[in-house]
Amino acid sequence: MNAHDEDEGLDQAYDWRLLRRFLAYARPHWGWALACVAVVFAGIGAELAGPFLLRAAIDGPVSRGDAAGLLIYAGGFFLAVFAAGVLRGLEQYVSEAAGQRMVYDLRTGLYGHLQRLDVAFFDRNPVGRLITRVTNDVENLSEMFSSGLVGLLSNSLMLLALLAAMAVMDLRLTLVVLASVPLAGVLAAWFRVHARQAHRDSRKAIAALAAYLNESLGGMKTLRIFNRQESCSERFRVKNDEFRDKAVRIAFVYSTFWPGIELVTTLAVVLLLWVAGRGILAGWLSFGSFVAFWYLVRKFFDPFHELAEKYNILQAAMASSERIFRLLDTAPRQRAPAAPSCPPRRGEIAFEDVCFSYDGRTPVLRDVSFRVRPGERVAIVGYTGAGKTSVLSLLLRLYDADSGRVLVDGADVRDHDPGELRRRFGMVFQDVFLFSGTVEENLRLGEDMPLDSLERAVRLVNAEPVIARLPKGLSSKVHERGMSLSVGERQLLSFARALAADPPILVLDEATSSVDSETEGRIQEALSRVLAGRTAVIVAHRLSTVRLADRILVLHRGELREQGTHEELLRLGGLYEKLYRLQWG
Amino acid sequence: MRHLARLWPYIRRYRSAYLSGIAMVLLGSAFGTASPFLIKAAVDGLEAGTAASLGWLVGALAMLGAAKALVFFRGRYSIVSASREVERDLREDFYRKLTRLDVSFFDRHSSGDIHSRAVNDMESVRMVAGISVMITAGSSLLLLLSLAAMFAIDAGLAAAAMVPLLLVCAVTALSEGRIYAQSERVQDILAELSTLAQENFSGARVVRAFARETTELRRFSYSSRSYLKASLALALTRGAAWGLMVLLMEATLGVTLLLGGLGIIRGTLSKGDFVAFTAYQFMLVWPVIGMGWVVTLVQRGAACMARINAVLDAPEEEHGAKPCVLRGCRIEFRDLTFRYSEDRPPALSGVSFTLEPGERAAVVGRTGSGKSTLLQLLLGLYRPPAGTVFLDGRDINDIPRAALRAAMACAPQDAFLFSDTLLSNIAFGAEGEASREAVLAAAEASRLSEDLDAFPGGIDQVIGERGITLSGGQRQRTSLARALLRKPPLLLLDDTLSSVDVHTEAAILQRLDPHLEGRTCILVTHRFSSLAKARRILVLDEGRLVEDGTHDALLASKGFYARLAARQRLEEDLSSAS
Repeated sequence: MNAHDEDEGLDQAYDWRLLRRFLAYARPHWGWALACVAVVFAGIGAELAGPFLLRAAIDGPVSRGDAAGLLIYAGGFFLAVFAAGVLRGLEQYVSEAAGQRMVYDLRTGLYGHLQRLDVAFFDRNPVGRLITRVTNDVENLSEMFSSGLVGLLSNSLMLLALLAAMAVMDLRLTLVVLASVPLAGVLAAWFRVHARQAHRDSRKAIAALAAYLNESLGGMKTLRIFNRQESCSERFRVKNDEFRDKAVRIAFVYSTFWPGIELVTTLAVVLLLWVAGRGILAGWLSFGSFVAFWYLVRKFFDPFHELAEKYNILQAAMASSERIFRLLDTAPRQRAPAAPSCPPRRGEIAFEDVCFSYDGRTPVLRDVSFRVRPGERVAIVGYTGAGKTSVLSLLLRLYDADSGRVLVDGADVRDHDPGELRRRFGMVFQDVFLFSGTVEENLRLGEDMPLDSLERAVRLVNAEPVIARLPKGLSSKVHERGMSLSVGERQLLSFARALAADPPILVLDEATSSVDSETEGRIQEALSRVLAGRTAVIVAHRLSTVRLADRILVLHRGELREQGTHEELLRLGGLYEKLYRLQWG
Repeated sequence: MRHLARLWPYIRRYRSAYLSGIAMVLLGSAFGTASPFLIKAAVDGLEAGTAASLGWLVGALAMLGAAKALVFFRGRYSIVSASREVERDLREDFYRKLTRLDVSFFDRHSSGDIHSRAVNDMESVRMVAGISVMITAGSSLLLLLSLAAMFAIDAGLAAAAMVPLLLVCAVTALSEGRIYAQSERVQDILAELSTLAQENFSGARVVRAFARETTELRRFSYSSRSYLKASLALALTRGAAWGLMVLLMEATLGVTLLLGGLGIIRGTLSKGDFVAFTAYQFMLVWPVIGMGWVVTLVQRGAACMARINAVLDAPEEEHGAKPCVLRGCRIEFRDLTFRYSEDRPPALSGVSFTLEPGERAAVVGRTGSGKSTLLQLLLGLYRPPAGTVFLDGRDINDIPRAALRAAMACAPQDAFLFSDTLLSNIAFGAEGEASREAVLAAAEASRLSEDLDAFPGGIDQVIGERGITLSGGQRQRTSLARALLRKPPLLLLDDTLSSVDVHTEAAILQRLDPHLEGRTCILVTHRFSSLAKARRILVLDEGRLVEDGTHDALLASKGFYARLAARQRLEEDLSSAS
């Protein structure tokens, strides 16, 4: 998804602080973690029993010619093999299961944390990157546990256990095998570095290619109507070649490593044969020891490549964990009050000398003060960029004012519980956002209310024909593309949503885009019903809406410049009169 | 399998790389099967109590090992690199095909679907052309030679040792398929999680405004839980498969220990034979697993290739029309009825009108009345029935798409911008290369130039993906500039200025006048201020051309258009009253 992002900070060394913090998530699942360790130990034990039985069988019954004895040893060998199979399978399952259980907590914890962060945070951080955090990064951590930590433990233990087993069988031969370790170590280190770089490069290249492809698909009609097939194919070709080059590099790294590690194994076996041969002749080595040793050497080089790969996984996951923890450490800028005030719902609003900017530099609102009495309808008008929508955002406390106070029902919005504050408002936004789920869920928005009050709301806002047209009425699912609801229809549904909850205050950000006149009529009718008996703050673009207001506030460049009724303002002959002529004249 | 046949021409292009690679891998396998003989000779020598040939044999083994490593490296690198070339060529053809496909294809297939064919399916197909070829070549010879050698040593022992090996192969083939299906499921749920997160993060304002945080978290936890369940199921399959493999692989040695040991006791098998036999078994384990793996790879690859072929074989928009150049642009619609597909109601029905070269017409109508369809047909994005739409007296279906589109410029409502500089985005409109001056002039005409100061990079500002860093109005003006850069006989403005305020729209249209001189122009709009100036107005309603005339004539006829106008006047009256 975000190749460069995925790799940022990958080069850092291990950070025990991060690892400790990650392991804290293992604490609730300590049973599973313990099971992992137990299974790893038992598995290694079972696998190493094999060669000892092999040696004992060959040196014992086979050289003695004792067929019955052989049968017993072979039976023991099969038993060990069976145990090894079961335990290795368990190790695989238990480690993955434990990792998944841990990251389940982490994932939902992270998501819950993001729900507490304020809107400004989402303005600063690209959505794609945040998605990567809760999906890929979390997934990396799961692998960090199962492949990384458990894998490292299992493989290093295996390596040690193999060495110990060899040493017990014969010290001299062990030294012979150890002679080839530096070679394997160098090869594994080379592989680790180059495989990681090659994979990283190829991931970047495929991400660039995929991004271009997606762009082409999105702009396919544009590409056609401007006759750009050739030049776009050419650009794609360049990215495609780039990816091919990176992929061939991966092929090189693996093509070198695999035969290389096999060669090292072969050399170790050859060396073993040479020394063991002399040992057998000289009588200090039994034939059974030789066969068992050979068996151990074959296994000895597997952990090298495994360790190289696990190390890369661990490192990638370390970067992921750092990014996740950094996100978890991002505190919401807005603090919820310790003891929220909960004044009675009257529907009263006041702005007192409010100044506001999104970035801390460019002022969007300057010293805005006004008061809205319960039941009063106020329209906010102004030219583009006057700060109309910002007034609504501050009212809902989506952002905090830089200075001054915003009061709802007599209490500062910062002293309300955020959820409780927002439940005082019914909201209709420019782009009506439908959550995936059913239409009913969208009207309800998690509140408890009887179905017939929903249906009543739908009727009141003229949205009945819209619902009737849907395949399953209120229970129809809203699909990705909004189930082909038009802008006007969505608007009607959002009126129903606002009406159903029966809030004391209505906040309306009128859509600028034009709707056909008929829908327009239906919307206006619905609007007047929604407004009945409520305080309302409306960012208005249509004259008919402005005319519904008791008072009009005229914003210009972040300042409140004029206010009054339509007639008063027209008579004033100021900004409003100009706006009026421009937009509706 | 027949789907994979399509891969053959691509593979043939790199046949020398493939052939040399396969030869190397075969050679490596032959070297591999030779070494146990040397080991056997050494051990038999030891049994006889002599180390005379030991040094010589050990040296030969080392040489053989080194030679094997070298040829395997060459073979593997050569085959896998060739498969990357095959993948590259196939993907390039795939992309080129996309640029030529009939546009309706994209109505039926989501971009996510096409994307996954171009990336994931390609990858699976590449595995067939690369690693599968290598494993098949290497393993088959190794298996053949090793088995022959094992049977030569002891037929009974060989037959018994074969059983666990065959089981390994079967377990691999079976579990791989199951693991693949289960991973697909895990991936699907992960995609679901991404969608939830995407919706939640991009709707952060709405989520907070409607106090939906808890509900949202609950939904996410629910999906996370099914993700956990699916992952655990996958882990179980993986664990079981791996456990079985370990068991079977080690069991082969147990068989040898038992039967081989009995052979030694009875004197039918030498210790050298026993060791050689074990060596073959060690050697066979991975090729056997590999063969099982190849079965799955090829099955999966065939399914993926089928999906790629579906794109490569889909109908193209060009139907071999004779080349021609369009000069003037007389447009004629003759009783056109058009549906996007058989099962849908007509988007346009019985539409007839003629536009003379240089004429300017505005098209009005509600959403869904067929305005955009009209333009898409003119742009050759969809095919009308024969004999219904004519340009310059030619049936539009007989005009090559390139020539058709060279004759027109279009600025659509939802302009598509690429993540590139503004300059390149505008220059995208030119036939061939566009000079910087020409681009700046076009930006001037669309009044984009006024906003350029706000961008640190001016016209060279790189805009984000799909132009997200631009406002709606800026996007539309960029798209207009792009269209203006062309100087074709026909200009189509599809509600191009809907996000620009009325005032600016009027100013832009004013500025456009000199650009429109002598060109045919169709303007789709909602706004009356623009309509009043149009010389001819076509009114569409539910796919029918209901009215056609000048602003004044249509007002006088008291029809649909007049009703639209009356509504606006009513509002004006209302506002002037009281």
